[in-house]
Amino acid sequence: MKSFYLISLLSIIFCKIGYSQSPGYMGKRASIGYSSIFSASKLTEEILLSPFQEYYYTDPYDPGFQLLSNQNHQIHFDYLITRGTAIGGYLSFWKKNQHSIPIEERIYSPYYTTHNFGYDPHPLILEEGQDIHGEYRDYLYNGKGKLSGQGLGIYFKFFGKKPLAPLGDYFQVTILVNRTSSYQEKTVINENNKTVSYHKINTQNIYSPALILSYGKQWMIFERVLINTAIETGLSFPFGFKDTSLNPAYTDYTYHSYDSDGFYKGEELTKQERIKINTQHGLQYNYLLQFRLGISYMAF
Amino acid sequence: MKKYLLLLAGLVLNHLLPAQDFNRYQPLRVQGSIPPQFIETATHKYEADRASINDKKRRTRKAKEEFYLKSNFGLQEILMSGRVMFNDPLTAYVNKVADKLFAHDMAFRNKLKIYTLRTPQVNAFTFDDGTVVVTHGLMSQLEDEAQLAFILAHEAVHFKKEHAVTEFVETKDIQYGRGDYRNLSFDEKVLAKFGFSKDQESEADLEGLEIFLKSDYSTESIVRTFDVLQYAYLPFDEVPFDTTMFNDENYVIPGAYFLNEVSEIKVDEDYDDSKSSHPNTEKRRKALKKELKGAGDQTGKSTYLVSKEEFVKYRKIARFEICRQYLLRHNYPKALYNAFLLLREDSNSMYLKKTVGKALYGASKYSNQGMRYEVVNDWEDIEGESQQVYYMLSELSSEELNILALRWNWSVYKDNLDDEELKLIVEDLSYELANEHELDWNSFYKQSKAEKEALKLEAAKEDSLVANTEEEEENLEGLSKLEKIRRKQEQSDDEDEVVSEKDSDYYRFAFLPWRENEVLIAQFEASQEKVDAKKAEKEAREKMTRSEKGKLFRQQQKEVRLQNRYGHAKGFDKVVVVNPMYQRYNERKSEPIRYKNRETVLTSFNEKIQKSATATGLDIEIINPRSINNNQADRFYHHTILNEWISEKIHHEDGMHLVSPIHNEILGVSKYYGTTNFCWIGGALITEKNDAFTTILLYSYVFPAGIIYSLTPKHTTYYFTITYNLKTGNSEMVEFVKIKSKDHKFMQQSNLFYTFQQLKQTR
Repeated sequence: MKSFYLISLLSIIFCKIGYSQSPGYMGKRASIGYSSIFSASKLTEEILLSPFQEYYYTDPYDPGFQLLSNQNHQIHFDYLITRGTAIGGYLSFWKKNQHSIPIEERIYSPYYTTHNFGYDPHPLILEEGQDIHGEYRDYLYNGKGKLSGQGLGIYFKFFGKKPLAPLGDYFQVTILVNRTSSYQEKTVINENNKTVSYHKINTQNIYSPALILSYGKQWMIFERVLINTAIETGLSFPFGFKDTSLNPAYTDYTYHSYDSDGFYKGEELTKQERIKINTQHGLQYNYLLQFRLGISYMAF
Repeated sequence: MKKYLLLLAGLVLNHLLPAQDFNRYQPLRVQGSIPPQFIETATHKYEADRASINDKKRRTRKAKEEFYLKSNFGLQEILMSGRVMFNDPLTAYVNKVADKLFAHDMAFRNKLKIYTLRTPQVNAFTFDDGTVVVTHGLMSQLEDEAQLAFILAHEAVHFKKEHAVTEFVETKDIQYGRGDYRNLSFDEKVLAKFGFSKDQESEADLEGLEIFLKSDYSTESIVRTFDVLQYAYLPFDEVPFDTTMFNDENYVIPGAYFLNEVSEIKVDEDYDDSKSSHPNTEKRRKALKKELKGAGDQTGKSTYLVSKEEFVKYRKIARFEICRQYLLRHNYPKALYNAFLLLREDSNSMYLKKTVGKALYGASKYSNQGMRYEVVNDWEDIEGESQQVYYMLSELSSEELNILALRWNWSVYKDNLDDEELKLIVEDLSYELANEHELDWNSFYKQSKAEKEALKLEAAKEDSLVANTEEEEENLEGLSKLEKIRRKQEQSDDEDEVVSEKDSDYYRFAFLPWRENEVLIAQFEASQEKVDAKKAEKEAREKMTRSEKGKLFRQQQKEVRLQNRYGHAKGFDKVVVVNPMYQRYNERKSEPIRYKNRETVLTSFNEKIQKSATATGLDIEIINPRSINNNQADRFYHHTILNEWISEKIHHEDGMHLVSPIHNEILGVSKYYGTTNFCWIGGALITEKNDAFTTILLYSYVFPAGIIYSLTPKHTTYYFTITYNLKTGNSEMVEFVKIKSKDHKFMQQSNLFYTFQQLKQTR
């Protein structure tokens, strides 16, 4: 059934292309290009910090407003189907590494030993009747969030009333799916600042669809070379799904919440869920206001 | 032997070339080698003129630079318009007169470049480079060769004394209140400007006379030259219009359509000339007469040095030419009256008969659309004998005018059935008759008045008994007083109607002479069929069910959508691009026209046209007067005809579609290039001050970036293209694009490509 829909969609598109009499630029209708998208939000930092946000920060970290660091790269392909309409697709990708943040985490450790200055994140499996002996200890480690994303989008560009596509002002509607891969690294160090253990935790991929509306302008600087600028806004839908199959061992850490008097309130979200929510929020902020600067080549 | 043969051939050719058969008159056309002046760029001429400026005062230098800039580009515009004639017999004659006039100073004569201009306006003017232009209108009005020589002498003084540049510089001083013009009021400045101009004209009159006196031309008639100019608004002759011109034995236009007396010509020769560039006629005449008193002996001098025959012949040619010009300007009454004047001498001239036909056709078409006032001036404003034509064209009903136009054109066409433009005119007029006035072949009498009278008499005899009985029945006895009055009034009204019917049905005899002409009958039938088909289509549309209407509407919408989305798809193989034009204006400057780069911009625009056409695979040919060489007079002539044709077409009122008065000429051009598709392309960039300047500045504290916006000029680029089928006269594709942006070269290229793609492609 899926393939039926796909074939139908493609046949509609190519039928249109077949009938169309788009002039393009001097008969050239297809362009391949690169665009850089800058977001005004604190997207990546929000997500990267999310696993650590309940812990005590030895050195509170404020990433601040980082437009340039919120950069999204796109490789796109446009094809003009009429004088004023273009259809296109793109692949986008972005990657973000957080600076190492020193984290001091208080955790109840049943197997604490003085010689083992470190953190074993493996969950404890108690045998029946076994007592838990341990105490709360503050652990120090370097935390680092990593986030990477890939997007696959298709779009339509509409070029005004008396269009001269691919030149001039345009309005663009994009539908895309993002895959956001997120994980954290904890590097436990000893007193000599040597790595005791390294853990890659909370690894997961989050898939979320989004709709983006853009208003921009394309113009030519040399024969066949197009420059493209746009302002964009969009919506990342909350019904994304996650893929936690990569490392299930680290996925079930549950947040506990306490009231103001310190009484235990119960379990809340798992860390995975928290990251997912933060990712989606982050993407939403990201799409709220973006700027595009691109260059393309009219290939054929 | 060979030498004699060549001599003989030369003599024959010399005799034949200027020969003009007025019965088969062919409009003048440029020929021979194109003068270098037409080919040299304005930029080049401007640079040369600028280099020659050696004034010490900066403001004078600047003013002269501005003058040379405007003058050179202005002159180039006129030369490129195609209306300036060279190497044609009329221009050659004017040059011959100049040769005679300046025989004593040929060095000066050779500095003058004398041309004629296709316009009915009565004028002559001079440019700073020695270009003298004499209009066909002026030539048509002159009385003799000496008057033409005097006008040339007058114009030569303007050149010799550099009047144009001096006046420009002086006007600048007046405008800015410099020197002697300091502290003048606006009115005083106006008077000073006109005063200076009048001084120059008086100087040209008097010094022109000095030149004239050195020649062998007689001064006898030159004082009357001013009268020629004074009465230039009237046709070239004052002859009572022949009100029976259109009549025959049966078809007689009622006398009510003509005036008993035309308006008197009233001219005040001593009018107030304080706000005029020239002194009034009376003053000029007096000044000239005064000078002539000391002119010396005139014996041995002659009014004609070239020849009287040539003067008369070329004046006549000018008169024939202005008929054509009046038609092209939609001045139908003047064309008609001028043709009438000329027909008295050349009654068999097909050209003149067609001029009358085309004038009636134009007036009829406008009249049928309720726009007669657009082409026929109020007859009360007209003086002289031509008023009769204005009156007739104003008073005839649309129906009568349509019939008259068809009748006249048919009478010319019937003997020239292969004349394409007459054919189209007759078709159009007969269609209008059926469509606008519901008149078909049966609406016209097939019996003459005499035949009708005979039949009536016969019928009257038969009906006499019946009539008597009816009269008896019309016994008013027994009716009330009021009823008797009413009956009598009705009888009286019936009688009046009979009289008016008799008066107004004259036009039903219009086609009586051709009552058995199969071609005419077929034409009427074809027009009626066309109208019937149109009506049937309309009725069918009215009878459509709702769903059928919806289906039709959807089909139409689909067609519109397809056109919007995919453009036109004309499928042409070849198109001729005519005189591409491009202009940049900067309205923020005191001189908005950007002259200096005009030629570069145009050259670049032409290159883009060629490049786009090549990319689409469309075969194009560009007729561009700016890029022709001196042996392409044919191409220059084509450019002239095409310019006249398009200009006539676009100056029609909205919704008016007429057969061009130069349709046959344009068909010749079309045949030459092997295509009927001709395309006019142009564009303009207009730079303006931002409208929102003040508003944005006021609110700049709210929107600081608005300051940058408000200081940025507003650019608007216009691009247009119109493609006509010369054979049908219909537009095939019209595009008008307005872009709120600068005219980037790639945008121009893209627009041009799209135009040619639409012309080339098929859907």
